[in-house]
Amino acid sequence: MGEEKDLMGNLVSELRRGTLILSVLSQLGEAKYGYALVQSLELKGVEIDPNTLYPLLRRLEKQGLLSSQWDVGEAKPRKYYRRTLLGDDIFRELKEQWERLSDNMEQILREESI
Amino acid sequence: MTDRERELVNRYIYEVTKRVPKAQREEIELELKELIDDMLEGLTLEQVFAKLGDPAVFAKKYREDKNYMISPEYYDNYMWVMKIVLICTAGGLFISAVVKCIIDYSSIFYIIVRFLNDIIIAGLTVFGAVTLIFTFMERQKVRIDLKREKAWTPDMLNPIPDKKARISRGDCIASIVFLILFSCLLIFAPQLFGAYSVKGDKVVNVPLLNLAKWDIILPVFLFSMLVSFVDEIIKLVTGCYCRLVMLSSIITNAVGLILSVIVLKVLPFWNTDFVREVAQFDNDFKLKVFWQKKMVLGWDGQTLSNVILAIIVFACVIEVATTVYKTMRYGRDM
Repeated sequence: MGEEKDLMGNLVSELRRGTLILSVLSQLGEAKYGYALVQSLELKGVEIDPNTLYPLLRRLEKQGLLSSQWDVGEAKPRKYYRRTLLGDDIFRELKEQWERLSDNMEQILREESI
Repeated sequence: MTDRERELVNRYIYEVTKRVPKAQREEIELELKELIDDMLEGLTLEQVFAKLGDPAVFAKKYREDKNYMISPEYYDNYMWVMKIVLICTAGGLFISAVVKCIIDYSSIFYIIVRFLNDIIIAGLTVFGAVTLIFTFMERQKVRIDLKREKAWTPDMLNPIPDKKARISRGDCIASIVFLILFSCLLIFAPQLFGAYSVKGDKVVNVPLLNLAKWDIILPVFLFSMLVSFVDEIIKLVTGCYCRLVMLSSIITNAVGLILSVIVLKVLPFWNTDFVREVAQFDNDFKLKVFWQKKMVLGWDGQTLSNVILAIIVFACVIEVATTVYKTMRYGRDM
């Protein structure tokens, strides 16, 4: 039973992993700081661990999809991320891909429903 | 936040940042401070830590490290090289131990212990060396794939070779190992080819080969080994009889023949004093060689050269004939 649970857990997290970047990019049309992003995704039912999100944000920044800025004006300094122009383009394309994918999946799963 | 909590947070951040590259440390520290402060607004410290998990795992995600030394891309070549190198090492040590036992059988026990010792040390060394080289190539992204430089297309699908046209990988590897071992013997211990005789406690060894001229003979020998080596590699890579293998076999055997003639008939290959030297310490042998008045066996190596040459010619003809036959009959164009 435990093994089955592990397997299920692995499969689900693998499934989610593919959607992570798209989820993150979707939320960063306007600048957000890390934890606000976690919360806004959580509100929409997408759970993401901070220890996954923070490294991911850095990686996307390195790839040029996001830009970051430290805001030191407030009580505590915060790092804000937002999409770059390249990020916008990539987001649009990924979104189209996702829509196609989800249409196809829906069809496949409807045909094969148990 | 209490001082105690502040201290724990600092410890957590330190555990993460000490594991990330120096250049990123400061910024990651600020990020984490911000994150934990934000999280603490809705959660207790315990819950925050539970959510963040092991700092080592967190740091690893920041590092984006590869979790391997040798990637799947290199793995096949790595295993292949490793196998051959290990077999050669073990084989070389084994042969040298056997030879040592024959020469000096009074210390067999010592030789066996020494052999076991050597094989462990040499095995580990070789294993480490091959792994290091491949790790280096992995890090530097050195391309070593011999076979696939062009992008794959369906045109590259060759017809499945006839069963009889396949060349066994095992045979090729055996040949390669033999070539390497034999070359090692010729380089490091040509004196082992010779006659042995026990004189009291000592073993006397008379070399059969002309070691005085070895620096001329050895390169010729090694060159012919190299040609055979390339031939075996070609066989191994193609895996079946085809025009390339046929061509390579013909060239290899032709070169081998020419070099054999040079070594055996032109170069002073044999130790011409061999019989005399053997007769010096072996009385039985002396009786056979010197009978009544003169040397009965006129040894200058020429007869032996002719016999060996005949065998080589025979072997070459057989091999070329087999290859040509199999290529024509079952092989495919390539």
